[in-house]
Amino acid sequence: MNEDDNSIWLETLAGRSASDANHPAAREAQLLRESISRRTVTDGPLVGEDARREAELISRAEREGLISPARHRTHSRHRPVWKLAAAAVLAMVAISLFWYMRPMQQEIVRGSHDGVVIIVATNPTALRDEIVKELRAVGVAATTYSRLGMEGIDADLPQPVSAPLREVLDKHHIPVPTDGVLKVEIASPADTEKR
Amino acid sequence: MAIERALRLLDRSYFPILYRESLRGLRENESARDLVQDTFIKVWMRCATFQGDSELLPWIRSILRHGLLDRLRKGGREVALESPDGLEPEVERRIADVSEEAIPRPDDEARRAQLDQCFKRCWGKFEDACPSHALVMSWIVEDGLTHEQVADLLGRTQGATREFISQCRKRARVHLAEWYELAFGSG
Repeated sequence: MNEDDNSIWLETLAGRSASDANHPAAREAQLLRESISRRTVTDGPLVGEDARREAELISRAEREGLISPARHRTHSRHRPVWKLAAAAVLAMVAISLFWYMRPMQQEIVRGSHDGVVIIVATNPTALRDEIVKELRAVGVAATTYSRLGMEGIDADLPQPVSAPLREVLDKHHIPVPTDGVLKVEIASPADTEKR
Repeated sequence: MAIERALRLLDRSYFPILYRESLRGLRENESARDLVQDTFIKVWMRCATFQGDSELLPWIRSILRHGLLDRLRKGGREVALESPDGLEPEVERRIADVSEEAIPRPDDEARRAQLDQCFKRCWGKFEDACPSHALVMSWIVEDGLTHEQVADLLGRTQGATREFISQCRKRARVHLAEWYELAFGSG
């Protein structure tokens, strides 16, 4: 197991084609990659807004000295300039965060079944259209269908998956399919409960 | 107040995805929750260093991952590697012998299910014994991390990172030996 071996192993594990795909380290890493990818989508705990948790976070910020309880309740006329600057930066971050994360607040990846990624969203049709639009923007043609109350998307992804395409998939928490065939079905929470 | 609003927004927007990642590494609800909140505090403290033209989620995620690896290191959960290589020499030879075309593919459902089940079981052992190595391997697969990115994540030199990668491979071979046997054994 020499350095070159490990380099080939890392490149293949990361999904980049090794210079010698037939190298034992590449073959080993490729099988590992496929197995790790298949087990990546899990039904993790999915907790959205939680007032108690938020309160804990605010208390923690107070304990850390980021928010002074006294200052938290009263307005000081002598607030240091750097704190105002930091607040302005944070406000910008918060705004970009809000826009960037809008879809995440209404969609939840529930796992996969037979290679189909299942997403639960409050408005499946809108989310389907949004994903298809974003895929098209990065050069991927996708087909859509409706079946048993689910909105589906199929697409053949170019290999290797480009960085912009990976960003689209990441944004919706869709794992990169190992076989290059994207299959997504979106259900509403009500439909999920019925199943 | 800006900071309070921002923290609440961070929590509402990112808690689920970060908690899932945190729990995967720490495997304990309270610790995972604590790490995510710790991450949000760090995000606030470092927000001035955030570059507006980069993606926010990867930036926040990298802060979480640094914290996660730190906690795993401090927790001392890593198990020392007793054997330099867990694979039987015979299996090692089989991997080398199998040509790319002849890689045993899980063509049928039963074979795939058997391999996946075995992998899941072995990977669980790997995560228990070597959580940092298992996590970093998962991140490499999921995010296509380069050697440099792994080094940055670990906060290690290039040389130390090469050693870490080598250890990932060796340790995986030890803990996934049963899966290696099953995957390559019939080749």
